[in-house]
Amino acid sequence: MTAIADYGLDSPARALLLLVLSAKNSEPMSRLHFQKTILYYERMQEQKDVDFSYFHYGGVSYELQENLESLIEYGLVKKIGTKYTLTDEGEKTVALLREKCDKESLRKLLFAKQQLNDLPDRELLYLMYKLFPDTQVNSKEFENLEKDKETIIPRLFLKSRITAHMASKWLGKSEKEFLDSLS
Amino acid sequence: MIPFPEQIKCKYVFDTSALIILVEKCELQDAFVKFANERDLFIPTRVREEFFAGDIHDYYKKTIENCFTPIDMTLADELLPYFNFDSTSGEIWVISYALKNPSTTCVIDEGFGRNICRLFSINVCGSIGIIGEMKKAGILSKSDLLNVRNKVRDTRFYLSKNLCNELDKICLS
Repeated sequence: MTAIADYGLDSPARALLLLVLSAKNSEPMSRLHFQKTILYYERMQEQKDVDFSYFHYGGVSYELQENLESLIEYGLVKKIGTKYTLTDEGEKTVALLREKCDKESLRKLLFAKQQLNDLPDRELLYLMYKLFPDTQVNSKEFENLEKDKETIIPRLFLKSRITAHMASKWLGKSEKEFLDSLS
Repeated sequence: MIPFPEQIKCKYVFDTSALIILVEKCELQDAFVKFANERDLFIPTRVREEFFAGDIHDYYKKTIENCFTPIDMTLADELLPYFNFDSTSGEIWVISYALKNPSTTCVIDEGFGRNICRLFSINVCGSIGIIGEMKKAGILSKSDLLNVRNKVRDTRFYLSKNLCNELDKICLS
């Protein structure tokens, strides 16, 4: 038996959890951040390997949460404060998974984590709602965030998470107007 | 005798906001004529359309026509997921060209596009980097550089603090 079969890592949810935790030098992630990062990645890949439901805070996956608990039980993931990180055994195991992954998938996963992992919750949620408007369905939070878009959108641009083209479109301004408004 | 290898021309592909800063705000028309003599400067058709769409003086348009080669190209589909499957921004075309022509350097000021370049190991610099190249090539004199610095500082067009500091380093040293 290989570690991959032992830990049931042929399940996309488990494999993605380990891979996302290992991306970006294994930077720890909160529950909200790994959920949204995996959703972002799945949208980039145009695949639906993990089941997501859409509630007050947009896409959430109970499948991911359950599998995370299994990975903690196996000693591959640990929780430090409010964030999750790989254990030494988790790092060893993910190295095997990475060998099996194609370069393009790993690049997309890294990008999704770079885009989201250091964003405060409100900016993270707003970015996800705007990138994937279908996740606004059932959301109570989106309306609140939308009231604050004049602050949130320039911040997302200044943090290099969106283009000026996207920011101006979301604000209903021309690109020039938007860029001038920043100085 | 081994023949001396022909000097390889540097190739740059420009995004719209870099063109606005360099051509419109800094008015580097003459410098660009000299810069283009030794280098290949490209603009994707999409960027050209974006630049020409504004209320642009004919003088600036002429610089674009004289110094830059427009490129009509196909999009690198692998970039689409990074741009949320939207191909309307200039950057995606700039990066597409560099992805298909690896010896090319992208000239992009916005952080998002620069991040994508790094992710794909594509050479990238910004408008301030081009000013630095013009200085190195002796195209801009000390007084030209001071002039450029003041124009960039005076413009209401957005440049990050880091880029402004970089500009000071180039223009005041």
